[in-house]
Amino acid sequence: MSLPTGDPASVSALGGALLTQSGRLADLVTDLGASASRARRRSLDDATGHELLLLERAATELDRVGSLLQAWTATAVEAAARARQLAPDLARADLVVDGQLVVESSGPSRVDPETRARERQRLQELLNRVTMVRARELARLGRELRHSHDALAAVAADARAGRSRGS
Amino acid sequence: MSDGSGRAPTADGSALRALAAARAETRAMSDRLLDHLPDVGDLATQRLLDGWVEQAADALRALSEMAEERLLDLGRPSTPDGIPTRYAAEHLASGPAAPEGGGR
Repeated sequence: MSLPTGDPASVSALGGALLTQSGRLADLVTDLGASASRARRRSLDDATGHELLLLERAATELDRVGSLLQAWTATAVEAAARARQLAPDLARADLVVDGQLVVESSGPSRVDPETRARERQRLQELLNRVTMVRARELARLGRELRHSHDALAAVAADARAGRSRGS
Repeated sequence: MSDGSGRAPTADGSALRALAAARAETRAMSDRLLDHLPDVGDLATQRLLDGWVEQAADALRALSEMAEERLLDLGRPSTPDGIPTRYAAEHLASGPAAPEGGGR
């Protein structure tokens, strides 16, 4: 049996890329910050303060979502592994998983009906735990993606409008 | 662009190099982000993630355009002094082409 895990490797690749990009943006922020400090010491205008703040905001979002995607990958892989561990017990009781439900496989079975019903209930509870964790993490990922989407839209708008802080 | 003192914004060579790096790197990051095809295995979350990637790529592109604009500002002869920033002029002479004229 298997849960719909998507392609964890592809999600992990994106998460890793975002963390790398966030790190590079942080380096640029450091470079611009050092220049701004030198300018202030020489009583010059800070010509890059606006850019620095916006790069910093973007770096924060890329880092946040990159970390979340890495965490989601771990959750998805673990959930799939735990679901696979149920397979031998499911097979012994002539049961299968249909979506998120443990059901009797079609056709006659030699398994004692009472044992089968008991196993069905037990395995359903185990499967529920796996799917619940996965659903909770998916919901969290969704919430964070919405929030970060809005934050990045504000960064883009501020960059194009010449402002450094969202309203 | 000048402040209340009539002094034009100035930047040293390292600031201009950092801005130039920001311009090039955020643009490249934006392009590379769109090469990813993540699959989370859940339709609703997948839509959110696809939308987020699009937005992140757009934000990075906007940052690149912003850095480009800033470099042009610093390299432009500035009023009222009319004194071009030497470092910016040097940098822009060897830098990549000007932007295509706004976002898509």
